[in-house]
Amino acid sequence: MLQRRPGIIILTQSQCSFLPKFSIHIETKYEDNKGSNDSIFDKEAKDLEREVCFIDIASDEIPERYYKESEDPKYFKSQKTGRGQLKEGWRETHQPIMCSYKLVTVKFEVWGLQTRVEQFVHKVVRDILLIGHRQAFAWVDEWYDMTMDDVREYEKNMHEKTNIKVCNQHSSTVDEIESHAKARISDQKPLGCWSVKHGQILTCPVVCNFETHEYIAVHDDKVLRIWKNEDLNLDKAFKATLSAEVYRIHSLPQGGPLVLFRGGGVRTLDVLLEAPQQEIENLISAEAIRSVGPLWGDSCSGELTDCEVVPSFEELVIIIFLLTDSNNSVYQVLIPLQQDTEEEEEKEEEILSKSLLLNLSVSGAALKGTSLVVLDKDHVAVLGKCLTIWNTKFQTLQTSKELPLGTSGQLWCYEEKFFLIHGKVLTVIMYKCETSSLAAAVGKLKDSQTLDVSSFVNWNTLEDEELVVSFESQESVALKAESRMNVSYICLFQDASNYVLETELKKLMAKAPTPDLQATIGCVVTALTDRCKRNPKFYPQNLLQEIVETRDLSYSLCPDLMAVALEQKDLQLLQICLERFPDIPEEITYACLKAFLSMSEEHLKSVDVNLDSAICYVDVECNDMEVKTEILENGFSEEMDQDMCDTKIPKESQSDGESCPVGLQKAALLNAVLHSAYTETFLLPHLKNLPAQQAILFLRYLYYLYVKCSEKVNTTLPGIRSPTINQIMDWMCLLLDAQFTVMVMLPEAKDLLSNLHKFVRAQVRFYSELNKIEGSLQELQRLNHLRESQTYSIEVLEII
Amino acid sequence: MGEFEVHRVRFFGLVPAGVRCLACHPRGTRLALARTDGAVEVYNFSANYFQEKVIPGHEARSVESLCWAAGDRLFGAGLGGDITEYDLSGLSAARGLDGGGGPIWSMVANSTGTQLAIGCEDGSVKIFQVVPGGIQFERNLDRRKGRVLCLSWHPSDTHIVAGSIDFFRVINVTSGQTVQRIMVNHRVEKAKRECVVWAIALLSSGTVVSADSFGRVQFWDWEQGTLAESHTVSTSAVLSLAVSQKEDSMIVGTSTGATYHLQLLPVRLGGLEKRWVRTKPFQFHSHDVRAVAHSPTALISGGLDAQLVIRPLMEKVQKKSYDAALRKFTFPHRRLVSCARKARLLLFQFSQYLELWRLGSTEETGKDGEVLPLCRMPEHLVQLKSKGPEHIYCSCVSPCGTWLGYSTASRFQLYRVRCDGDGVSLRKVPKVPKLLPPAYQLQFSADSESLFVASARGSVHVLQLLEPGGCKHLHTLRPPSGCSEAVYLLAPSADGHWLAAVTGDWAIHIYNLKCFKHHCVVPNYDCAVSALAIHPSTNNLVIAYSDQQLFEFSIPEKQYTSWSRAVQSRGLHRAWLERDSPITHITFNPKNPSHILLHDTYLLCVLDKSLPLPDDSALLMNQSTLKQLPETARKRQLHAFKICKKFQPLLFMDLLDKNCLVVVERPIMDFKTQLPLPVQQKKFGT
Repeated sequence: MLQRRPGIIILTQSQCSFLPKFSIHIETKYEDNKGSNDSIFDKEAKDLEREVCFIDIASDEIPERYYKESEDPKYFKSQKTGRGQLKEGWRETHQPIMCSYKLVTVKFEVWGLQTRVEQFVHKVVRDILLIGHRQAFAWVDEWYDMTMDDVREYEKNMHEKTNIKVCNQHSSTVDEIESHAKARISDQKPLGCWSVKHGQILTCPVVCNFETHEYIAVHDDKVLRIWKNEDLNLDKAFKATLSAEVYRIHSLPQGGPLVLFRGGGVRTLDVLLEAPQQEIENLISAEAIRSVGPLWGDSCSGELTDCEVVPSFEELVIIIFLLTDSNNSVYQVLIPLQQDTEEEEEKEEEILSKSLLLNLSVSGAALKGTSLVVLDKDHVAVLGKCLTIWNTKFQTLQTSKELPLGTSGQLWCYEEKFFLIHGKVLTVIMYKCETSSLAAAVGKLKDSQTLDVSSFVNWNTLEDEELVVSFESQESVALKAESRMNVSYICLFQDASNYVLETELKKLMAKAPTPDLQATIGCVVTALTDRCKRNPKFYPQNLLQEIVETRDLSYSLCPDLMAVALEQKDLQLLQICLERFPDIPEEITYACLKAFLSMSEEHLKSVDVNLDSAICYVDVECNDMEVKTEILENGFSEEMDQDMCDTKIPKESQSDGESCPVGLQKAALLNAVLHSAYTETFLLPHLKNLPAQQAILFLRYLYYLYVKCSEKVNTTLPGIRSPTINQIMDWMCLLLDAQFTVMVMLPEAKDLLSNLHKFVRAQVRFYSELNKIEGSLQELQRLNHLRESQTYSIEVLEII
Repeated sequence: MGEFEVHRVRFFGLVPAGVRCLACHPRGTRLALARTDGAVEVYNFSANYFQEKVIPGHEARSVESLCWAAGDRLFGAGLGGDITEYDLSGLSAARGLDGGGGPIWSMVANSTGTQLAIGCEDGSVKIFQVVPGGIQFERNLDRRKGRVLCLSWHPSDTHIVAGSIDFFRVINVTSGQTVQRIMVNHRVEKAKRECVVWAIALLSSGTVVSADSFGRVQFWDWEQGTLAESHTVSTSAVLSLAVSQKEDSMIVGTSTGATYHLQLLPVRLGGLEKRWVRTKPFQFHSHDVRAVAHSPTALISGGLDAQLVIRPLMEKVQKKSYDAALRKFTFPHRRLVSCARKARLLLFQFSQYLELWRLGSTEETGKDGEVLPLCRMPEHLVQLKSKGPEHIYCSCVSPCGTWLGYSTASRFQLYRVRCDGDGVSLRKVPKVPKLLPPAYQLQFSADSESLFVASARGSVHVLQLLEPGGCKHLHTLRPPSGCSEAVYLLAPSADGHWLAAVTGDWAIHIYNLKCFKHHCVVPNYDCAVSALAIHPSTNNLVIAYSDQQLFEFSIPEKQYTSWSRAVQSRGLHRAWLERDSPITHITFNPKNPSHILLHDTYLLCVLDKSLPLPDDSALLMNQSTLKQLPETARKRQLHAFKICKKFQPLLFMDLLDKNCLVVVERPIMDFKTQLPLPVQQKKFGT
C-alpha cells in the first residue's frame, strides 16, 4: 500500500536482462483504493499462476539493516501534507489513500533451478518494493512540490550518474582498480571516478596537482592525461603523448608536478607540456651517453625500482631513488625547482650531481619489486621481502622486519606509521626515527625525552660536510659559522645596548631553523658570554635563557656559557642547561652540583627554578612555602619503613628518612644534575673534592629518593623529569666510591651508611637465596632426567 | 637396620586396558567394571574398594554394557551380540544367549531386576526375562531404523527411552509401541554432522536427559516433545551419563577426559522451583570418559586411560573415613609378576603372553642412594604367547626357575625351562593331569617339587613335579564343609608342611601337606584378604586385609599370635589405615625372623616386630627424618614400620636373598605414552 498523490495512474514496466534466460517484469498500476480491486491485472496475466500478496508499508517487517527510524511510516509525520503516523489499522481510516498494484513476473528458465530462483527473486523484489514504497512515503516532503518536469530532470540526472558508475565498474581492469586506490575502499563512496578505455592500462599512480586542482594520469606508459574534477569522461580529457616511458609523477606542495621517466630523466610538467615529444635522456642503462645532456652526471646501470621526491629548501628538490641490479644503491639528486625561463636552457646544460646515499648491502634478488620511502633527512625505509630502515648518514641498517607472507611492494608512510599490504591484510607499523647522531651510535645518549624535542641537535647532527670538522673543536665550527655571518652582527653583539641586542636577536631567531642559523646562534651566544666575561656587570639573563630554551644549543656550541652562569649564580639557566645540553663535561657537572649543594636554602627560596621534577614527591614541612605540594601515598607508613630496614633507627635519622633532607628548589636542581650524562671515570676524581657535609647531604637526598622510589611497585617517581631508580643508584654508588673513607669517619653519616649496608645485605641474601633455588632446581632436573632414562638399575637403599 | 641392593625394574610394559563400562550394584555395595579387552572386574565398596573379582577377557568377547539383575547376578552384553551371565563365584563367563539383533550396544535392567532390555544394531529393543539359571527372550519392542546406542527404563518400568543417532524415542513397554520420537539436532546449524545420543536417562518425572556428541546435556519433556533445558557442557562429545537414585544429581563424562557434576538445585534459596545446574567440573582423566556411575555417596568415572576414579560427594559423606577421600585405581590389586629367587628370573604376565627376564647383576657396593654400575645387563629370555583367544588367568615361575606354568579359562599349561648357556629353551610338559580349569592361582613349593593349583569350589590341587619333565596329580584339598567360591590366593610354607588358601568368601583354610588334611580355618574376619604368606621359620601366617589390617596367625597353635593381639588392641597407625591401595605381596627375610616385608602400589614397608608400634602422634613415614639424626638419637625415634616410598607405582617387590631386593615399577607416564592418543585433547584456554 502506498500513499501518493491520488488520481494518477502510471504504468511502468521494468525489465532486467543480465542473463539471457532470466527476466523480471514489474508492471505497476495505481488506484485510489485500499487494494480492493482483485481483477486489476486480469488482462495482463490471464493465464499465469498468480499469488497475491499484500504489502503494508507501515506494519510489514523489513530487514534489520534497512531500517531507519526516519523512514518508518509509523513514526513519520509529513510537514507539508500533514499525512503520516500510520498507526495500526491506517488502511481503513487514512485519507487520501492509494494502492500501488504491482505485477511481478520472474522468469528463470534454467532447468533445475527454476522454482528456487524464481521464489528467491520474488522474495527479493518484495523486499525492494516494500522498502522503496516506505521511502516514497517517508520522503513525501521532498517530492511533494515537484512538477512532472522536475521529476524527469531529476531522473535524467540520476540516470546519467548511475550509468557512469556502472560503466566504470564494468570496464576497469584489475590494474586500474589498484591504481585508483580511492575506489577500493568499499565502505566509503568515491568522490569521483574515471576510467580509461578498455585495453588501456594505467601505469603509474594518479596524482593531483594541488595548484591547479587537476589530476594527472599516465596510461600505456607514455600517454599523459590531465583532467579536472568536472570532466566526466577521461577520453575527452587533455592528452599528450610523450616520447619516453614515464615511471612516476610526483606532485610537490609548492611547484608543479615532476615527471620521472623510466630512463631516469626528470622534467617538470610545465616543461614537458611545452614540447611533449622532446627527447628524454636515458640515464640508467649502461649505454647512456653523457653528451645527450643528462640531468645528472655519470650514468649508472641498473633498474629504477622506486623513487621518492622530497621537497627540501625553497629552491631545491631532492630526488631519492633506488636502483637495483648490480649495485642496489640509493641515490639522491638535487634539482633546482623554480627555474627562470631565461636560465632554463642554461640549467639544462648544467650537469647536476648525483650522490650516492646508501648502498644496500642485501642480495639483489631480495630487492626486486621494492619501494622506498624517505622518512626524514637521514632515514629511508625500503620495502622488499622485508621492511628495512636505513640510516643514510652512517650507512647502517637501523632495523628490519621480516614479512613472510609477501607484500604488494607498495609502502606508504603517514604520521610515523607505515602502511603496507602484508599477505592479505593491511599492516600498520609504528616507527620512530631517533635523530641520527654519533652519540646514538656510540651509545652515550641522554634520555630520549629530551631527544624527541630536538630536530637539530648539536655538532654531530649538523650537516654532512661538517661532520668531519666537528670532531676537531668547537672553535672551528664557530669560525665557520662566523665566516658566514655578517661581521656587523658580531660587532653588534660585542657592544650594543641590551634593548638593541634583544630586537636584533629576535629578528635572527625568527628565521627558519637551518643548520646555518644554529651555528650563528652558537656564535652569538659565544660573543655574549665573551662580553660577560669582559664586563662582569653585563649579564643578559633573560636573553640567554630564552636562547637556550628555544634553540637546541649544546655545550660545545657555547662552551663558556655555563661557566659564566656559574659565576653569576644563575641557577635557573644552569638548570635549563643541564636539562637540555647533551654534552656537558663532567667538570662542569660537578661544579654545578657543588654550587647547588652549597647554596643555602634561604637563598634558594627566592630563586625561581623549574620545580616539575621534584614537586610531586618532595613533602615540604616548612609553612612558608608558596607552592602547595602533593602529599604521598597513604600506604607508606613508619612501621613499614622500619620493617623494611629491619632495624631500630634512631629517632632523628628516622625523621630524615621521612622528610626530604633538602628543599624543594634544591631537589629540583639536584634532579637536573642526576639527569645529566656523565662518564664515571671522569666524574669520580671531581667528586672526591666534594666537601664532606655536602656529600652527606647529597647522599641523604639520594637515599631519600631511593626510599621514595621503592614505595611503589614499579619503582618510579611521579613527576616530569624525575630521576629514575637506575640514575639514583648509579649516583649513590659513585658518591660512595668517591667519598667512602670520609663518610666512614663522620658520625653524621653513620646511620645512613648502616641503612645502606642493611639494604645491600638484604639484597645479597636475596640473591644468594635465588642462587640456591636455582641450584636445587637444576639438581631436581638432573635427577628427573636420570630417573626417566633408565629402565633398569641397581641402587642401594638404606632402611633404618 | 640395613642396606639393600635394589634391582629396580622398569621394563614391565604393562598397559592396563581402558574402562568401557561401569555398573553400580543397586544396593551400592559393589561396582562392576568392564574393560576394553573384555575383562570384567568387581570392586567391593565395603572392603575399601578392593578389586575382589577379576574375570579375564576374551578376544572375541567385547563388553559394551554391564548390569546387575535379580539380586547379585551380573550380566554383560557386547558387540558379539551375546548376552553373557558371569559366574562370580567361579570367575568365568557362565552362560551366553544370542540377542538376535546383531551387535548389542546397550543393556539395562528394570528397577526390580526381573527384566533386561537390550538395544541392538538393527534398531530393535528386546526384552529378556531373568529366570533362575539364565535368561529368556520375552518380546520385541517397536523396531525403527538406526542403532540403539543407549537405553533407560522409567523407574516405574512402564516406558523405555532409546537413544539413537540424531533422535531418541520413548517406547511404551506394555504396548511395545513408540509413543514419542524426538530429533535432538533440530535447529542445529551443523545439521550435516550427525548427532549421536551417547547416553540417556528417563527420570521418574517424565524428563528425558540426553547426552550427545555435540557436547550437550539436554532435558526434554517427552510427553510434550519439548526441550526444557539444554546445557552445553563441553565442546566435545558427552559420552556417558549417570543419575543418582534420588534424581537430584548426575555425572556426565566427555571425550576430553573431563567429567561434570550436575545438580538439581532450587533457583532461589528455600524456593520450590528447581533447575539443573552444572556445578563441578573434574579433570581426572587424560582420555575419553566412556563410563560413569553414581553411587549414593560418590561420583565414579572410568576412562580409556584405564583409570577408575571414585570421587566422594562431601555433602553425602557423614564422617571422615576411608570413603571421604578421592581414590584412583589404575593397576590391578593382584600380582602379575612372579619371581624365581634362586635363578633371579622375573615372569611378567600380560593379557595374552608371558615374558621371562633374567636380572642383571653388579659386583660393586655403595652407599644409600647410589646407583651401582652393572656388570651384566638384564636379559629378555623368552616371550611365551598363549594360544587361543582367551586371556591368561594366572602364571607362576618356580623358585629354581626351571618350571613355568600358566592357565587360561579352559587350559592349564606347564613348561620346563632349560637355560643352557645363553640360550633358553621351553619344553611343554606333556600329559598334564586333567583338572577342571581354570586355575585362579598357581604356586610352586619352595623346593620346586610340587605345584599348587587354586581351583573352583574351594579346592586346591597338589601336583608333584617329576624330573626330567613331567608331573602327576597327588591330591586335591577341599574344605571340609564345602565351598562354592573359588580359591584366589595361596601361600605354601617354606618347609613344605603347610598351605594356606583363601576362597572368594574370604575364608582362609590351612591344610597340612604331609597328610593332606585340612588343618584349621583362620577365624573369620569380614574383609577381603589382599595378601598372605607363611613365615619360613616360625610358620606364622601373616595376613593383610584390604582394610589395611594386619594379622599374624600361628598355624601350629591355631591362634593369633601375641604380637597380632597386641597390634589389634593397640590399633594400627591412622596414616597406615588411610592408605590408598591394598597390600599385594608379603615376604620375609630368612636372616632376620622379626622382619616382614610388604608392599602396596605406593610404598614398600619393612615391618620389624621387635620394635614398638607407632602411635598416632608419631610420624609414620619417618625414614627421611631418621636419616638426618645421629646414630644415638635414632633409637628413640624407631618404630616397627619402616617405609620407603621411593619406588612408585610399585607392582611387585620380593627379597632375592638376605639384602637384595627386586622392585618392579611401572611409571604412569611410561604407560600413558603407550596409550592411543585421545580423540579430543583438552587444550589450554579452550
